Amino acid sequence: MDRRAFLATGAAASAALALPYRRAWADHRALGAASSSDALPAFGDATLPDDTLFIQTALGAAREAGALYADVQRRHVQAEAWSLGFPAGLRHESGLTVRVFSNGCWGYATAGGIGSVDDAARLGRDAAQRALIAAARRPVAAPLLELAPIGTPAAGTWVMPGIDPFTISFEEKSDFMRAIEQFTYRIPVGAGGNNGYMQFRRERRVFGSSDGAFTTQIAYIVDAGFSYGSRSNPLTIASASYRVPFVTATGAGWEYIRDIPVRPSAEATLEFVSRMRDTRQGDVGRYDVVLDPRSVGSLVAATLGPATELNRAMGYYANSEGSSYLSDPVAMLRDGVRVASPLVTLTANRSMPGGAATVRWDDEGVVPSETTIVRAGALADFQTTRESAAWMRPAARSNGCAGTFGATTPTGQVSPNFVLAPGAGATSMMDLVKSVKKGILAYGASFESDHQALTGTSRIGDMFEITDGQIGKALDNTQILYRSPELWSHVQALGGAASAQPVGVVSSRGESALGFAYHTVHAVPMLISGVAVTNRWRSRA
Amino acid sequence: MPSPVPTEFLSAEQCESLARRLARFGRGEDVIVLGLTSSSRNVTTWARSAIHESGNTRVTQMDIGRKDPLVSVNTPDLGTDRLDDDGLREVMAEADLINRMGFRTPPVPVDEVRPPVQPMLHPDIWDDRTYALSAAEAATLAQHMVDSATAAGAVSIGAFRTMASGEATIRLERASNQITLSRYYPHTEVECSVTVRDPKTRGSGWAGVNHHSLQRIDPQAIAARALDKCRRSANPVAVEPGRFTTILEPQAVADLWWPVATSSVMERWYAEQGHGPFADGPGRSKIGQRVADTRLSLSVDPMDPDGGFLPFDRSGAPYRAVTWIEGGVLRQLAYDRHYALSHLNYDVGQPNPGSYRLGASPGTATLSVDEMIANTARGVLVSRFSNVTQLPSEDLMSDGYTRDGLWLIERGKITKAIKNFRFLESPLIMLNKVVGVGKSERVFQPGFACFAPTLCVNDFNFIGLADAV
Repeated sequence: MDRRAFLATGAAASAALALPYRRAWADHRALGAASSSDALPAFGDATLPDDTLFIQTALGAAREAGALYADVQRRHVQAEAWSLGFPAGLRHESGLTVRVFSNGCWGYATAGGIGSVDDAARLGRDAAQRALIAAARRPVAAPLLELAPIGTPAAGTWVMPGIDPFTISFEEKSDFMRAIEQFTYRIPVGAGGNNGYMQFRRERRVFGSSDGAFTTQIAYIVDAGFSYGSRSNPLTIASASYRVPFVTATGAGWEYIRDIPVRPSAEATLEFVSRMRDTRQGDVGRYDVVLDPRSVGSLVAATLGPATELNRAMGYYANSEGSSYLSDPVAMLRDGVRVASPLVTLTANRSMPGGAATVRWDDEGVVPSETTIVRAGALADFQTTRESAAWMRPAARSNGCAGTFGATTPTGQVSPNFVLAPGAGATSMMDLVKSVKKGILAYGASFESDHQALTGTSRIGDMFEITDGQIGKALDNTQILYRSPELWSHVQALGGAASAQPVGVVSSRGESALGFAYHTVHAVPMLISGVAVTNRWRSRA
Repeated sequence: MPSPVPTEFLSAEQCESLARRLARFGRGEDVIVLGLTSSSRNVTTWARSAIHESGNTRVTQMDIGRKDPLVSVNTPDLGTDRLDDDGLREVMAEADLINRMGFRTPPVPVDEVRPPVQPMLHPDIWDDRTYALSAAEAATLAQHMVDSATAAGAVSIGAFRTMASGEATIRLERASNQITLSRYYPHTEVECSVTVRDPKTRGSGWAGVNHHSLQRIDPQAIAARALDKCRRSANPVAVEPGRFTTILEPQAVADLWWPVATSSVMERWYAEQGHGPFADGPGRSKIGQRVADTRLSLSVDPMDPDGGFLPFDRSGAPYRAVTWIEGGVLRQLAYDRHYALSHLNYDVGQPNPGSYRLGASPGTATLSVDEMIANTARGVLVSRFSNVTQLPSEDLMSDGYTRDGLWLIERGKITKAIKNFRFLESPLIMLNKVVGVGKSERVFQPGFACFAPTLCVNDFNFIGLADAV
């Protein structure tokens, strides 16, 4: 069925029907099918030089210059952004980075682009010299610092399952976006989608280390969303628009976007959008608040996520992003300090299918382990790399959180995927709503926090009143205030497994145009009691 | 200008050669506009009072645009750092494919296809000493900054960066293979920032600055200032938030102003379309009207002897000295060449470089911080802000947190360190509640040359406690 036929029968189309569009244009490279588009020459990996030679050369040069531990990473990042039906951004970034570790100090040298074998040797020498210069400044009496052990060095190749989104023609992507746009105009409630976007990212990473590791990985990130607008309320002239991510940043290929069940997502969102035409100002006070999974995902990413990055908790980012309210991590972990309600268990992994942080090996060649960060409300672990794991206790292993922001930033700490363990039973978000006599539903709220991930507020996202278990009017000018330990300790109920949704999170710490890292929070809806709510503009000048 | 010619980043000749290589690939007879940033960046960081990292990054990033008055395309944001033939071929093939797919925009004015003809200025923004600083010398500088905190029993965390780069904008007509515009400028930059913390007393102090020349900054003084603030912010107590007479140090003023300085708010088209605080009805801006206290002026000059910066934008349009606000009156807003050609019948744009100098208007008596404190019956002194976010409002309302030093002033004296606040305030409304203005100082804004004064303002709105340290 082509786009015209689909639109003609849209109202009768089944809910499970993936958006059909001209499949003759689909994946012309992979299928070898004739296409109406000119085929792009075969680019990408085929044009990259021999990684083995570059990596071995760099490692050899680093060893000759005195390095005891060195690792080398070659990265190639492609990013494509689509807006309003056409490609709005196409970027490529490549880099070769050598790191050397010496007694608690890192030296690194990076060259962007492809470079030459001579460049690789120069980088190896430079990184080793820098590490030795830095290490020479450490106090003589200070204990020797080493990296956590890794066991058997990693070796192999891993490609994320799925269709490489960069093998899909521009025509197919354009047709897909236009089809969704025209489809949404047919939905009775909405005024139609506009300002749709899609983003794709492909990262190819080749890693080698002086421990003997050699790995090649290819991973994808896909992301898409659309705005919906409602027609104005004729009585109040209030209208509303809502930007809904169809897919939040996800570690998957093109098929994930292609197979989105558009109709149920659109209809569910448009129900809320139509409610947003009828608003009143929220009242200041303390309320029971139900958060939808997207709100919970954002809350985790603003609070427990950064607070449990060990580098951050130990103060290594105090001059930039900030630190953590878990300010004495070794002691707090030893004591199992309470950070949340006993209902809350939060695990971290880099292996879940569709996780935006999912890899086979992290950027130090470690196979990431699933780890429990919060167990029944008590602090159970931190996110670590080989360097930071060694700070905690002898022979501790990294749980695989080494990563990078872009192709030319040295390896550091990145967020893993998080899973908030669901509640027992089959509780849905609406079940939580029904249990509230007088409260608020936060739908798609995003949260921000201070530089210790301690206090913060809600930002965009919509609030609706709940009265006697029913969703009522949208609440204008309404904002949640929180202090992380208190907020999390007041969790009263969690949605069941069937209510879970993945929520993609993007963070930026690099200095390049593609300096982003992604992770997923697999979140369930949550009911929290006694949440402070205020009016955003209450104290307006 | 550098002497001898550096080898860590591309020279002017190498940039032109790259442009010619790029033009060999792809199809069309349009004009390619190439923006190139080629840099070598050195970083030394320390944490927990010990050097942690020393690194170097060399990158050449290329942004590619295309202009064609006959077959206009919506040029996407194309960029690559792959300068080999395969990389160049790939990015031009993508550009050609988009062109063939027929994404169209309104035609580009013919004049805009021609290069800007105005000459660029030549600020002094290269320093040999900064360029030549070795990793060992940087580590020594960093270690000296650490030592002062260690001697005081505090913990130091910081970063010292130097960069040398060549920036170029090149226009090449593919039909004739002629380069019609070639602008290139080498420059250096140094950034130095340090945080000193005392876990026993919950004190935290920060100081930092950036400049094109290492010889114009004093790392030891920066470290000393951070240590002093750490000591003075020890054992903070909670105070009820509310509206205060507030003395904002230059970095705090800059933290609030930065989201405005680089936003569409400063663009003429934005105001004339009815958006932002400088709009005055359909098709009109508030140029000529008072928008800030008469004691304040906002200007920019690439030739500023203390604050020079790269003299052209990514399209090759030269930056000029501009007074945005004079004696509180809005004099100018920024516009690009496209706007000038289509609205002003003028071939010269007036782009906003992001750098700025906010300070006292000529003839205004300035006050020192001590004088401002002595004149304050009850107020607070703010060192800096963090997580400043503009909220969706036409009057630039913003929120965020104070950080690294907040003190209560009572009866003309600082009486105690207090816990951090969350604020809700508009930087523009703040510029209309001024009680006193200090001398402008260079602030920490990496990649830009920014100056801000100490300001004493009335009724600054602190809406909550934030006991993050």
